Amino acid sequence: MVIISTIFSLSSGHILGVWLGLELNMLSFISFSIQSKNFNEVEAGLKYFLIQALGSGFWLLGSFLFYLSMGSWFLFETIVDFNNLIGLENIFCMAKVIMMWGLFMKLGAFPIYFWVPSVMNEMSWFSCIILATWQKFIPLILLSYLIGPETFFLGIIVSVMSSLVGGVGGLNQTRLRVLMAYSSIGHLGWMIGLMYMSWIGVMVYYGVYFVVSLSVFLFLWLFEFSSFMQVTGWRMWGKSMLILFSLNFFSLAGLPPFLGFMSKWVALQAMVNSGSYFLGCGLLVGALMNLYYYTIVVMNVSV
Amino acid sequence: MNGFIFSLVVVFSGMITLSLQSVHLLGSLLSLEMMMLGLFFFYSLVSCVMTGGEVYLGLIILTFGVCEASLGLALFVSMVRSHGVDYVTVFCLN
Repeated sequence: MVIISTIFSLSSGHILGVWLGLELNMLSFISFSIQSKNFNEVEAGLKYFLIQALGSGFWLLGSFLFYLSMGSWFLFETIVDFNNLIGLENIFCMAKVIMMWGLFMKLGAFPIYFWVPSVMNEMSWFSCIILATWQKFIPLILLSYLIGPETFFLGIIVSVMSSLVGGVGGLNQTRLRVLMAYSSIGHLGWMIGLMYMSWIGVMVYYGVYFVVSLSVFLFLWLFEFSSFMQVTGWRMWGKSMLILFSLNFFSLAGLPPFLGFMSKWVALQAMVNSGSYFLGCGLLVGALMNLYYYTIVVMNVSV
Repeated sequence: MNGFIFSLVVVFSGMITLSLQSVHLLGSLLSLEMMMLGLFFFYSLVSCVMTGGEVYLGLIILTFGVCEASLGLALFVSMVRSHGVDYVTVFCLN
């Protein structure tokens, strides 16, 4: 159902169809993340529900304003001609900003990032995998339709700040789920910033992030670890497992010989080409802090 | 024009009360519902003003708003069954 609603949302050109897909996605994700009668999962589902409902409310409001200003329901077939929009440019820009705001809320980007760690802290690892990878897919694609020069400043701020937040938030964290949540916020910042530079770069980055974080999460899910104080558990794995696990973490951090480096390389190349050095520097500082706490995890495992 | 402004006020006050609600969960569900109703009202005004506006799409909005509300109520009930109270403050926020 989660997959079907994603396809539904992305294949519909009508903005209300997109909204329906988002709603269906939320409904189905909540209903499968509360499978067990766990005390905490209901709470996590409720928090997720409130934030996502508010985000889709923003999206709906923005789409009405879009319709009011453009007279069309179709996001990507509409050619924006500012000469026809005299007096309506403000409404149009407001609609765009409101829709982007709703999507940022749904993604967990900078201003409303705090729900991601608290939700992921209380979910099962499988729901965490879906939340960190698949659930980002629709809002990212929709965000890339809305990207334009008039929202450049907003996007840059959101991307740099969410990268920094993803770095700083995870620094003193002992729970692995929360740590992974902050790392997903940091990667989200990279994706949002890259969106202004190149569309292919975002796809590469998202694909690489999907694969690498899937493997990291699968490791964590397989061994059901929630905090890295459980040293005795790690010892039972054997040497090769530990090495694989550490390599996965380094790949997620983006160290050169691994896959994760390629996506960061593509991103930085695109940013340098378009001359946005501030964005690149901010994102790199966030990624450095990411690397720091990944290294702490790896050291706790292997030493 | 007054209708537009009124419905936008309804929507934004629903959003603000949802964001600032810190005691009862039922209150936040109610404000969510208020937001959806305001959006429906806004849409019906928009579809009257625009040429070629489809009025029946409002029904879809209402239907999905109700779906959302029923999901919220289901979560609410299961939370009351597990926690015993409906206070937002029992949430762990980190």
